[in-house]
Amino acid sequence: MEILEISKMHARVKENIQKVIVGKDEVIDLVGTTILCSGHVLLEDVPGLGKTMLAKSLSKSIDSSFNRIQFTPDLLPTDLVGLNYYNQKLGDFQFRKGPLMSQIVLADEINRATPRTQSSLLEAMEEHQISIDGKTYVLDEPFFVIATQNPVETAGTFPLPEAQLDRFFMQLSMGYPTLEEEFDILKKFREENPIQHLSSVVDASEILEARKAFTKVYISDDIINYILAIVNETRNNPSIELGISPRGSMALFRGVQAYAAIKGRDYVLPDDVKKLVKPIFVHRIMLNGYSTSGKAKEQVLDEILEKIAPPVENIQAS
Amino acid sequence: MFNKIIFLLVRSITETLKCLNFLIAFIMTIGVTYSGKNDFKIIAISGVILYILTTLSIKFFSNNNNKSFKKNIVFFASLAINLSIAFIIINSIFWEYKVYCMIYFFIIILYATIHYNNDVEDMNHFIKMYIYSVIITLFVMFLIQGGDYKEVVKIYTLYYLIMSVIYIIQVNLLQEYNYCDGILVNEDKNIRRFNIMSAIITVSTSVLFITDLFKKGYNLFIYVIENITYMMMKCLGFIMIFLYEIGIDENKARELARQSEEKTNKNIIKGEKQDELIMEMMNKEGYSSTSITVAKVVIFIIMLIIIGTIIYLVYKKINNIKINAINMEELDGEERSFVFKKDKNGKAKRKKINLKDLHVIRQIYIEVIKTLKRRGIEYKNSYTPNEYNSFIGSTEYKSKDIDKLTNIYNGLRYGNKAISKDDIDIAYKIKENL
Repeated sequence: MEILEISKMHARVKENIQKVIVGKDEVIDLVGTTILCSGHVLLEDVPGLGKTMLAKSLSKSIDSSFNRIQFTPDLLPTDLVGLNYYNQKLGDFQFRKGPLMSQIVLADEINRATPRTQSSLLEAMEEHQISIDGKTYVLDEPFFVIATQNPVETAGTFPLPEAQLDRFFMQLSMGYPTLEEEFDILKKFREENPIQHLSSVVDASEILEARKAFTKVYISDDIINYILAIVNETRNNPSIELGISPRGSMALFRGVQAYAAIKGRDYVLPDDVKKLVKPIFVHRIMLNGYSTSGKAKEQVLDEILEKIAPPVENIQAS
Repeated sequence: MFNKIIFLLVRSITETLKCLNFLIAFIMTIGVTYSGKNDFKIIAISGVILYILTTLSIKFFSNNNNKSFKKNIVFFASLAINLSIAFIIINSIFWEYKVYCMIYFFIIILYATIHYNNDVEDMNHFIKMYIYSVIITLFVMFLIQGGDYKEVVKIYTLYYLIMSVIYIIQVNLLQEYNYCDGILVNEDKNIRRFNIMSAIITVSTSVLFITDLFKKGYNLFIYVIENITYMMMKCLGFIMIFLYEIGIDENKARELARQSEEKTNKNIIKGEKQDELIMEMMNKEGYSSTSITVAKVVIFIIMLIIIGTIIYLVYKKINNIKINAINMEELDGEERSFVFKKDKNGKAKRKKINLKDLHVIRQIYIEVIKTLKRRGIEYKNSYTPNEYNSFIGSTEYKSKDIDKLTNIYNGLRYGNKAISKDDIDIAYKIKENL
């Protein structure tokens, strides 16, 4: 598959999703980037902004299986991954698949489940497989988790551990629509939900092919050094206690390649790096003190991006 | 006749220099705003305030005949002013400013102590002050970690270089004045000593300053752009603070004149009467007071225009250098290889900076940025080419040509793309049309 075909494929998916989701070009591009990188997305936003709708329309567009799991404090790991139960009729244990065994999974309000249940996602997210009673089940590809959490309500929640956060490729925010967009939403949903009429525009095999192809995107040494300079700054910045791990820098490296591909370019620009630094790094850094809000982290990352000059021509600035 | 013209000229120069203080303050304030370096602003503002207040306090207290009273009052007034300014600044500041404030504080106290001694016999105070202030500066800089003591020393060097020139002008003014009056003041030991001292200091500071400038070698351009302009601005701040010396040295000159005249039983010349006596002398030679005043005003204006032109030309020159220069530290390996060459010991030496070694598209892109910068379109190092393009899009220079050039540039710079002859032609046309 050529780079241009990846871009066209993404454009088809985007157009299809936008029959339901109004606007949100950037979020759709970033979700597309994450799928290409075999990653998962954490959507941190208040309820009612279209997170579920985005996941549903994405699954419909890709012709894949979809499951929504509402995370609650009493949710057990077996409720997610499935379990072996004794079938009296057959007189043997039988495996019942959990909702995690689908291609696109919406883990709604993930921080409401206990850490034990949250941890049961780890293997699935990282290895794309599930091990139950010594047997390993490989998940169907493309396997993609969209998890959501509400940044406002914190009572009765269990913040995701760092190890789990690191498994998410990006942390995104849908944000409120503009008035014009909301006008279009109301008009679109006047009679019925347009998602019912969505049909798939891409099949899973195309996605898998694109995943192999995007790695051909050229990334110059200058850009790699730029990525490393940013990563290094997160490790040395006095405001940051926990900087970016090599997994994080690898994610940015792959991310910018995938992002360039969906934009139809076979090379990476410094703009791609700037665009992806925040969604890929924001949940991977830990600030000094007690501030954990995404906004404070974004502010620090903005400062770093301002400080670390991209590889451009050297015209004296002042 | 010739001496009188020289005298008039020299007198005009010193008067112009005084007015120049305010001009410098004005230029500095503009420069500060333009450069966006806030510490200049603080230095400039504190310098201007200090200059005005100390001048006023000296003027006020110099009418008092009680020498010791005058000395003490001026000292404490000056100390109080300096302290209050220092504390105002210290309370609102970043670390760097604290360093400068402490230096100001120490040096001004020292200066005030020596300066208000008013001992005309002690011509060595100049050299003493130089040595003390440098020692204290270094001491303070070493005590406070993180300070750039080298830069401060450089500033002082330049400052004393300028001050030495001013001293020489003033002593010559005195000499010329006395020649006019038929007194050979240059036989006075103090004057001779002072001239020698000034000459030594001027030469040594020049050597210090110039060698320091060329020590940078390959880094000369960065030095010219960043350090010189930066230092000059700071230096002006220092001058602003210390320039009230001129007034004091005139008093010294007058004092010397008074001593000389006492020897020849002439009238005692006091500061206020100096101009009257000049007029009187010129009248004796047949010049009317009106013509002398007109001549003085004309010469003064001419001097002001000349100095203004020089300042403008220097500013323009610095600006051009700034625009054409490259910040070496930000060059990548490939670019650096064009700019540096290594000597036998493997140390980097300055190679002729030649952007022609870069790809023609990059040269054109750089030139377009420079042209736009000269026209007031700001360029930040944190901009990516696309961000810069978007920024241009919000100005009057918005054009599809710049979009095209940016795309060609991006492909070459980040995509390792081969550039066709057509692309190069397009780039040239864009540059010409700009």
